[in-house]
Amino acid sequence: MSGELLRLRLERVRYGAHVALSDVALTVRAGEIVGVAGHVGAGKTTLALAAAGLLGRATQATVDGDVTHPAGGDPPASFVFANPWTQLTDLGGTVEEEVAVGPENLGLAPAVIRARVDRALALADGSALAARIPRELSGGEMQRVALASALALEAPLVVLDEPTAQLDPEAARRFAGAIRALAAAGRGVLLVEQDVRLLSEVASRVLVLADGRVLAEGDPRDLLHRHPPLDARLGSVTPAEGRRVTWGAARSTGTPTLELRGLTAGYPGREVLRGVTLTLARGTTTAWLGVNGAGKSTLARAIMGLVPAGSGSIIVDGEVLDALPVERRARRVGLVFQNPAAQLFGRTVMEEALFGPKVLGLPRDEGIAGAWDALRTVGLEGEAETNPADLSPQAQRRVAIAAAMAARPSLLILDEPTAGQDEAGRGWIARALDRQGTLGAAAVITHDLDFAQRHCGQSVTLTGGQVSDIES
Amino acid sequence: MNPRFDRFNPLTLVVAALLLTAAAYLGPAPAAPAAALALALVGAWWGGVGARGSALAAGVALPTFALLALTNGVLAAAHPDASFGALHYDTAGVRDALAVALRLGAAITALGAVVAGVAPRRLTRALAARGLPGWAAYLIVASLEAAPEAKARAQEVLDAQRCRGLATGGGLGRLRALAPLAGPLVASLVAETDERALALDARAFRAGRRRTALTPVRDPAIERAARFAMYAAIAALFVWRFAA
Repeated sequence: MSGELLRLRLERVRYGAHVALSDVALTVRAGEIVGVAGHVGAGKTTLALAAAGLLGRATQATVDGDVTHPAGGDPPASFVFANPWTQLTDLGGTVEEEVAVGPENLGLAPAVIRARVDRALALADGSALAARIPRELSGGEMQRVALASALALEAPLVVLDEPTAQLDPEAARRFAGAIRALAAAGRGVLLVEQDVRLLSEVASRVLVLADGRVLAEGDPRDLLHRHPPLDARLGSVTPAEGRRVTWGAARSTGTPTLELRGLTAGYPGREVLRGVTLTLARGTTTAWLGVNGAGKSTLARAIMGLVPAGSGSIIVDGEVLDALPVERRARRVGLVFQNPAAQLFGRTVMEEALFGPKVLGLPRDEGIAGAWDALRTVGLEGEAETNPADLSPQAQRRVAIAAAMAARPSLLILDEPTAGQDEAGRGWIARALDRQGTLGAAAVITHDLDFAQRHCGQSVTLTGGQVSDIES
Repeated sequence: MNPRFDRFNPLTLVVAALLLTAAAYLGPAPAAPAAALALALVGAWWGGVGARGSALAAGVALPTFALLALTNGVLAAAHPDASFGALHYDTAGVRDALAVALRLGAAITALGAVVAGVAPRRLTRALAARGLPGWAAYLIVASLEAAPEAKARAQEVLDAQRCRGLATGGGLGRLRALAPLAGPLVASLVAETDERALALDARAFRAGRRRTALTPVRDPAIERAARFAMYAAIAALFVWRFAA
């Protein structure tokens, strides 16, 4: 058929003995946005890599099947990864130089490269970033640079693998606009997404994968709006009338777990937090909201002592933490970073869960009980003897959460825990927040408003390093 | 990276540094290495990296001179000019020590100024314009960026483990912290290498293909002529030194 940009028929894709995809067929035409949905481990990224022609070239996969790009192109497809940090090549010192890397690799003339860079930055809403240093950008800004870098290749087909996972709602909305503009300009788009709402809004057709096979294909407004969902692990778009627009019921006992009084903090030459005053009561679960760069992660790091405080005070359970080193604060506060790979080293999941209680000097019996309780809470008690490296990144994040909970901190802070999680994973994280609410207080830094409204009793919005709004 | 150095093609600066190094090692000591060191320092200060260049040169050359002068000129003097009991003084030994120190100082200052004052990406663009393949350009940039990246990742791992209660102070603390710090660091660097390779592949990177540049590095005729003259001077120094 004319206008076809991708014709894919995969009988089987294997990583060693593991079969990632079976009997998948897909076509993408010019001007079309095709969505791919599925639970974690359904084979979405494998399908995306195959569609871009990257599978088997840079990854260790055995592919039985054919992938053709009838419209040709050099390259026929470009690719945007979920993680904005690892897709920068570092061959460019500024954003426009980074965007130019693809056309430079194609050996194009400087004037042609310049025109492509300008077009790509404009289409990705990144023209204002042109002179910035890529490594100094926020996650959302960096993802726009990644999109521009892919667009500068001017491939007929653009493959996007969870491109909005790190973006705040406003940045995600603008990103969705850029995707629509691409299709309107005649490109074909294959959009792999965990966010069924985004897929429902932008995709003209959707392929739903489950356990490496096609579960359904069709209109996203049909497949992604079903109740009960087509696949419980994937979830579905909550109907507007059924969505909670108020925050979940608070369980506050009134006793403060965290008190921040006029906290200022930041980095050399750059103050990020400007007089944050905030109280989180025992029994509450609070969502910390705000755009990329608002200071949410910095606030968590300042509470832990990783970012030096200029003035103000941090009090947890009545104890002033200001003069305590990070490892002493860990007795009161558990912080789980966005990237679980930064902390996992144990040979088993249980070893990871026991690490905190052990180094914090908790009695052995108490540590073991806390570890089992935490693993049960996040649904990993059956994986206690599994090596964390053998788990998916999403499950590794749950290991990191369990490891923090096992030490029974008064305050647990999770930084973007739902990024990349499917409905099942989000459910386990919600359970962790509920459990923490019975032990002290929990805070979750998130761009996932739907999750926050369903599972948090209140929200705190940061704007420019200050608390701009508190809702409950 | 440096506005004054950026007026020149990076290859011209590299060749100038090589010429100063050759002059220091092949020319008559101590005059030639002293002149080369002086020129390298002037160039480094003019280029805005004089403080680092001087500190680097002094940090290497002064201890070298002190050690060699002590061993060759005093403790193990081959031809003493004067003796004070068990101690001797050998002028030739001290002169040799001075020559070695000046040569080291000149080479380190000249090459160090280029490394400190020229952006690696600009250098690789200049090399690519001279035919350097894409894989070599990436290798140079990745090597120069590897240390700061590993340092940033190590800090991330350290922060994460301290947040779990890991104390890293004291001898025993450092020993206990080895596995929790080294394990995630190595694993994440390996994983990142794979992801980076995939990202490069996605940007149409092909090992043998010659890259072009958004902003080609200027290479005017006068600089090409200057480089030719400097190559000739280096060759002449070798001929003078080894044919004499």
